[in-house]
Amino acid sequence: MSFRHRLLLVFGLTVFLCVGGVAWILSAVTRRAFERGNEDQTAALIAQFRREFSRRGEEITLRVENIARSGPATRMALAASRGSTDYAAYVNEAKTLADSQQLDSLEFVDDRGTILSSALWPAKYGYKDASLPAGLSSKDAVLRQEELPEGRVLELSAIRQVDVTDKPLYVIGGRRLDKEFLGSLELPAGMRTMLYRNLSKTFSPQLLINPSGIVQQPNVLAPLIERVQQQQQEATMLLHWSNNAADDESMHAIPLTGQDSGLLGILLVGNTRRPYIELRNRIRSAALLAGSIGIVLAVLFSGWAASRVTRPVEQLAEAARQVAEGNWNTRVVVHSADELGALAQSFNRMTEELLQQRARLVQTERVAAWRELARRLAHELKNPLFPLQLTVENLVRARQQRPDQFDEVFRESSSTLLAEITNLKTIISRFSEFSRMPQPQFQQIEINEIMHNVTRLLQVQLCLPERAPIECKLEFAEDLAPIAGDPELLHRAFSNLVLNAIDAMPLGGKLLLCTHQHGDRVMVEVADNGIGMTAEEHERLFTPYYTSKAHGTGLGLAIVQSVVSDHGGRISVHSEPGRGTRFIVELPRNWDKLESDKLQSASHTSSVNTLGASSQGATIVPESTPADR
Amino acid sequence: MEVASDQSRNAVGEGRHVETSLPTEWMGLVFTRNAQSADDEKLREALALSIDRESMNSVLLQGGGEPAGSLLPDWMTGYAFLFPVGADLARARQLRTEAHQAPSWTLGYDTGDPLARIIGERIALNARDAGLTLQPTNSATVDVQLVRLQLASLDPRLALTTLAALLGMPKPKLDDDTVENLYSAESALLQSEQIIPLMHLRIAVVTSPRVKGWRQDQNGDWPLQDVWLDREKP
Repeated sequence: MSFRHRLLLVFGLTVFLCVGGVAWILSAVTRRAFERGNEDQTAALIAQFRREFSRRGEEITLRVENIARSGPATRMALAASRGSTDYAAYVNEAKTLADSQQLDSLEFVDDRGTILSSALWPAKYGYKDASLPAGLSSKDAVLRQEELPEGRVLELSAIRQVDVTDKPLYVIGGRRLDKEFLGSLELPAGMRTMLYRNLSKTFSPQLLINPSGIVQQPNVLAPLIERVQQQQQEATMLLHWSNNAADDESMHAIPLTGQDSGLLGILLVGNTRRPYIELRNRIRSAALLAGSIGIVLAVLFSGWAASRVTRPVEQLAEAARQVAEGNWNTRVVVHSADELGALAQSFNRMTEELLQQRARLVQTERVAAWRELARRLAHELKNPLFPLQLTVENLVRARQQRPDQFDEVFRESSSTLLAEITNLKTIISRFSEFSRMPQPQFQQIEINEIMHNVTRLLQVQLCLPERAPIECKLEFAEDLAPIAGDPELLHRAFSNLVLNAIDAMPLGGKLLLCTHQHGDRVMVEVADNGIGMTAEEHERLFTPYYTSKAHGTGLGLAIVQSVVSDHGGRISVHSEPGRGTRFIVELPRNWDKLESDKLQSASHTSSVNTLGASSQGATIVPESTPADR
Repeated sequence: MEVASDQSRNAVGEGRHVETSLPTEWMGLVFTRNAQSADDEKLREALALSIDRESMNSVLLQGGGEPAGSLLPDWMTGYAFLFPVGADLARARQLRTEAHQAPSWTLGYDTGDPLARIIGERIALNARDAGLTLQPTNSATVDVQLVRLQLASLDPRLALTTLAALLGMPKPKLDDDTVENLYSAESALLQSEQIIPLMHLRIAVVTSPRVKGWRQDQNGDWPLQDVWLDREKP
């Protein structure tokens, strides 16, 4: 992934995370605010329920007191005190009085707990009221369970006693806690109440009511009710009525206990989460829209910003790549004065410094090469000049001291002088030849054919009687692909390598000439098991005019390297002192050069012919001793 | 003006003139299925013995009926006193204990009849004292039904036959006109353990104080020719 793409990704992720974070924070704040409002509403409703509960209790107490003070109650108390209660006389009394005081239930119970008259259950006369002892201790209305033929009901009831004799008559009246009671509560929008009458040990859907009657899906509330039944504490639970989150409801359960702290009922206050869910969905939609727009803008902006940031970096990277490829004149345009601008300036200074150092190095090497050339020239020229001087001095001395023998001395000296002058000309022609190395003329060639020509010409060298025997082994691959190259130059280069190998084996040895295909390249190996090279010789192997031979020019391997380089190839050397040397020449196919060379040939036929003639006239530069490498 | 039998006492209390008839309406419990086992028969008998008919009559009916252990009233047959009407809670509990299992029965009644409702509730309370569970309900499918049936005729044979037919019971075998035969037929119906007689109800009529001679004779007839209207007092 490029630096620009990384920047784009970072920018995009940053914007996305920012938008997501803001949306999350907004959502969390909204949820918290809603929950706080929900809690406040629930608390207000619970307070309202308790006020209503208390108000109704006071109202019931007042009505029961009115009944207790009424004439029928007094008459009933008097009759009960006499111990001969005529149930028939009072069987409908409780119903009549309850209706007059708008009570749901009313019972008259004598001092032994026997029901004299019951409004809700008239047939229960003569039976005992089991709840009487518990109700006696409270002056206020209390929550209690009332037993009826159809089952038990929950009611808010008060008890008063009529004390007209020493045997009191108890008046117990109350109103049911039912759907009418729930319906009387004023609820804020989105809230509702339900009542679970805890008349069974286990959860029973029939005991759950709301202002309209039966609750739909009552089992959803079962876990909350069972929790309150177990813990007898207020509890809150989020209820999922359907798969739609907007139907969720926060349900608060309040235990309703009787006088003996027994759990008689559970008030359920529900608060719909629909407004919150809708608001949350709107926030999410807005966040999604803002996020999408933000991401698009972020991509565009970050793309623009990243391009501004990365363009100088990319230019620097490209410039560095060009420098690495050898184009040291590469420069970077400085656009800014920031760190990237300083980096570009430093890069430019670096390349400039590299150029200057390379120029200095080239100058130094050139001077060194000239010095080496001068040394070699002096050495090469001194050898023939010294015999020339001696010969001329001998001629002068013979003319002065032995005139009679001068002719004979002159003939001998003349031949010597001619020989040495010839030697001088040879030396000069070698240097001249290296200075006139031609450019390769590419044509389709077979490397094996060139190598065969080299070996044929070198048979003469191998068969010299004074030379120790050398075993020559040829391993030419038959499937070598033809390449484009200059046959003359390559012939000269491989001849030099072979001659050097022969020279490296003064005591004889084995010479291996090998060719093979390596991908689209042709490999040529020339190996010997001669004297090898030292590390210093290996390092300076291809330096022009460097030689360790007594009569070498130091140009042989320099020519080889020049030819291989002109063909786009590479040459490598592996050598160990005393164990031999192996040269590996790697030549590319060069088909592209063949095409361009044909075009050049079409337009410069005459000059090519001239160069070709010149090449054919060139000679191989043999290295006389291995130390010349 | 005809009033409910349980309201006749109130009417008297209010100073009205109330004339009651001989008991001509039968009230009882009818099991919707035949007894399935000996335990079932014991439980049915326990239920019959647990019901306090006297209290039911005096309090709930305000004396507007007669406790009944038979299908036909005593004034019609003269032998109804032979069928027991008193409650025996101890025996009822014993029978309940002897039965291995006691199912929870549902008791149906006419929801439009307040008297039937209150009587049903009292029966349920009495049954609970004997360890039986009888739940009054307005459901259509019940185990026991509280039934009120007007006697179809002053003729006991015809009344019994009609009553048996209305109760869904076999036609009584009335071979001759003797009382013994009538007794045997009625006893056979009662021994089927499918019905429990509760009450024979009277008809109460509130009349103006000016109405004279409005009463029923011993045969249950209303001799309207003896009725006359007194002069209005200033």
